[in-house]
Amino acid sequence: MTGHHHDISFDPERDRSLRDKGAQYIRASLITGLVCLGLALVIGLIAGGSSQIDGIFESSTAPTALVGVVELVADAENQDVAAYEGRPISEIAAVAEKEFGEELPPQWEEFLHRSTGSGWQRFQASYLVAFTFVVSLSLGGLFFVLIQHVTRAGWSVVVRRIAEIMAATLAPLALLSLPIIIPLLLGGHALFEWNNPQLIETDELIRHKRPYLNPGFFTIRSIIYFGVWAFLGSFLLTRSRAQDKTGDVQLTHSMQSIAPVGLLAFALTVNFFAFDYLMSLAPHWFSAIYGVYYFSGGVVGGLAMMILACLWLQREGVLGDEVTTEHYHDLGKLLFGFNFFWGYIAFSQYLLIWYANIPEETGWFLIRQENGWTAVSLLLLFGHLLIPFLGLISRQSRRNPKSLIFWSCWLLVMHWVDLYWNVLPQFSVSPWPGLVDLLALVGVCGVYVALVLRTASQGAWLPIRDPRLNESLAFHNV
Amino acid sequence: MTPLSATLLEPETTQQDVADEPSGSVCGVLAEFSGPKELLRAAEMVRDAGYTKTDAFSPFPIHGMDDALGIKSTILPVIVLVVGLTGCAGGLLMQWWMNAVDYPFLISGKPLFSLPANIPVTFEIIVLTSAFTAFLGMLGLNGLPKPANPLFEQERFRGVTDNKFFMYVAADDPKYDGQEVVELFHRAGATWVDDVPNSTSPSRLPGAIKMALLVLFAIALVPPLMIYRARHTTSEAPRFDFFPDMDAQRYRSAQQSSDLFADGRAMRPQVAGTIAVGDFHENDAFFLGYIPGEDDEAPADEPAPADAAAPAAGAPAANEPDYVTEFPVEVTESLMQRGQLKFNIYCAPCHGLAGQGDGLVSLRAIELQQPTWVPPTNLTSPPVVAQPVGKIYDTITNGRRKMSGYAAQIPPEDRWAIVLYVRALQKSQHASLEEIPEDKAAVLKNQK
Repeated sequence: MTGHHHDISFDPERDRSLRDKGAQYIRASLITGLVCLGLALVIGLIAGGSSQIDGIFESSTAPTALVGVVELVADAENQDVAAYEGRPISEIAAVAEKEFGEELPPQWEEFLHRSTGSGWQRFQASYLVAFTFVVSLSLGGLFFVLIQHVTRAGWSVVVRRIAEIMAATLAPLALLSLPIIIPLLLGGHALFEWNNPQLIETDELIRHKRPYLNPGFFTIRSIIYFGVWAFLGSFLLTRSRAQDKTGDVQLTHSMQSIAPVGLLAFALTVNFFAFDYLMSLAPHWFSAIYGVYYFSGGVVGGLAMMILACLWLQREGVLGDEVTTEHYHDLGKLLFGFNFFWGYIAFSQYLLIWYANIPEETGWFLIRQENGWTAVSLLLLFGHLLIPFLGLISRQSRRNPKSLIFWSCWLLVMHWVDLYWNVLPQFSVSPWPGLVDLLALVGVCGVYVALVLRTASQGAWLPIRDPRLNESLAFHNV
Repeated sequence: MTPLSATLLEPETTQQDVADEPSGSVCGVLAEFSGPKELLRAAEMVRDAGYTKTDAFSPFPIHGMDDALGIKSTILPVIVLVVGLTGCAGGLLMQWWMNAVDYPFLISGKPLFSLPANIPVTFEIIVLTSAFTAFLGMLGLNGLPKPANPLFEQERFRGVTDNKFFMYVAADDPKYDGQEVVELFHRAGATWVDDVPNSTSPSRLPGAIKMALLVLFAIALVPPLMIYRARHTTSEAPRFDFFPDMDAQRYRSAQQSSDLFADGRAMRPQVAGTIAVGDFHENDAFFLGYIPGEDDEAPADEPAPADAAAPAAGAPAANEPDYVTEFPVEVTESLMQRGQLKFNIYCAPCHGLAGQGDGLVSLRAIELQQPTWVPPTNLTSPPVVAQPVGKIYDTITNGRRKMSGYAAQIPPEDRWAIVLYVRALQKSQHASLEEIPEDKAAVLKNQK
């Protein structure tokens, strides 16, 4: 088998210039990422959350404390509540302080402020969206590698290394979970209200879920998730790279034998990761399919990123003509299929809840169907599912690089919108993303790209001595 | 090249023989090639020569053969898309007509035609119609099934499923000229070339198969016709009994007679003094809520006569039993909490959370103006306040008027807990300030 390896011309001069360029990219994206994250935090803390009384009386989910205070103030001033529309919260608070003074409940100001979302909370939520976004891309890559090994696929060898690099990046990505875990361990509850001591005392359901939803166990579980992913990611990448040097077929066997077990561990960890980091934002709500929902979106994002990365690397001259239209065609098929799978899962989740119509389940969708969030929900239905379905249904569109670039970018954006739609309605009445959201996204993505490139810079972009490389190079769709 | 030129000589003679035959008996020219690459090159040459009615045969698919043969991309995907969309529209239309027009049936308050509920069925219909179209369309566009093919009568052609590679040009090709095709194949490196005579076997379906299909179709029509007839006629005959085992069991039913016993009854009465497990109720005050009198012979678990209850006027009827006035259980804080829990589960839907007869069920019934609805009693009204605890307990046990008894759902301990909580609700409406503990009273005063 080892005799069949692909001849790759090696030009030291070109190699050095590519390495320099890569190092520049790493530095640029890391600096951009960190600066943007810093800006997001500063802007979040300065600007605060929503500071005006906007449409709270039309919303069935507006914070009751705020509604109550506005009603009290209106009563005291002999005015209609509508007159307070658009007035800053601080003004209302001042009037209330003057009118009622001592009679107001203790810590009411903090309560009032929290009910509209503080800047710190907004930053955390935006960061969580961006963090789960990049993690899901890497999980998509890990899933791709595992599936290729389980099925002993030959076609995908030339694109597998990119997925391996994305998967191995999960190890350093664990560091990015610290801004979520550390505040939690310090007793913060801006993001996860199940850590709010007041709620734990008064809310029976949250109290019952406490043995699972507590900062200590949350941290332990996070360590398990990232531990499993980091192990699988680095195992697959180091074996594959070792094969670049030795061409040992035994390495392929070892990757193939770990893949089924890895896939099982992957399924469990991804499910619970989604439960912990996203579903527990609404601690009363539960949906058994939620983990699959996050997974399906992640695979769509991961495949889109692989396609874009491949095309970009070819344009930069890092990859040659090893990756052909045939490989892009297959990646496009997977993208098309998994995007429809995402829609299938999303609808399965919705249909049962819609049908049963039980308040404890419908509440989650209710806040995503009012105050303009309806538009975002419909954007997902049409933008994430139906339009890309029609866009990618034709064979020509999956074989055309320009069309693939367009739909990959489109679906990456939609995947972010999906996660935004999953997280932000818990914190914001208004559906509009702010500067904080965009800066957090650019920041985390910048750091992520730097991490991916740094992982990539330690080896080749192709499994150059994989026993199935020739099969992949000669791959042709029937 | 030597073996090739050697074989080149051989087909020369075959070609001579063929040329003399009338062209009507030849349906095309078949050539054999030594391998997939040779076949691919030959296909390209034949395509470039302008032939369109061609085909290539190999034991395995050869990449690039479609292009080499000049096969245009098929229209099948478009057909599948159109039929799939038609299936989508048809599926939606069908559900709209069935659920919203022909047989409107309200399911859990949803609109008669609601899209989310219709999507799974629509999805399945799209899959079904698309799959059938793809399968049948593929057969149809390829002209299948084909009962006879002249190529199959060529002895040499049989090797095509093992290790032989063939190329074929049909005689009905517009450019077809037997001589030229044979030469072209030789130039392309064919190892063997021959004309293919027309098939001698009939090209139509055998009559027996046609007949069998017709009979199958006729048999398939029987069930729908039977259903149609059953829907449009009436019948005196008993229904079909496919699995009679559960309907006709070999034992006597409760009300049937039996010769086995002297009294002729199939069901045996209980032996005098029998008490079922858990049914020994010693403490009448606790289990009944009243002390049975001399002529009160009602067994412990049978309900008290319904008309014994006063019509809620509060004035005790002449024949009312001797209700207990004190709780036969220990009154504790936990019993009160249990009572609240059970009251909110079993009683509050009708009587309201505060027991004032304004529960959701009642409000809804009044809103809908249900003619038979009797509004539930206000449990804090003076007549109920005046009732002894035993009577309230009896009401829960056996029911009153429209209210059915709850003996089956609520065990006696919980019934007493509910009575206790009802007393608390009554107190909440009629308590004086002196009865309220000092600290709680202060809170109340501040609220005013």
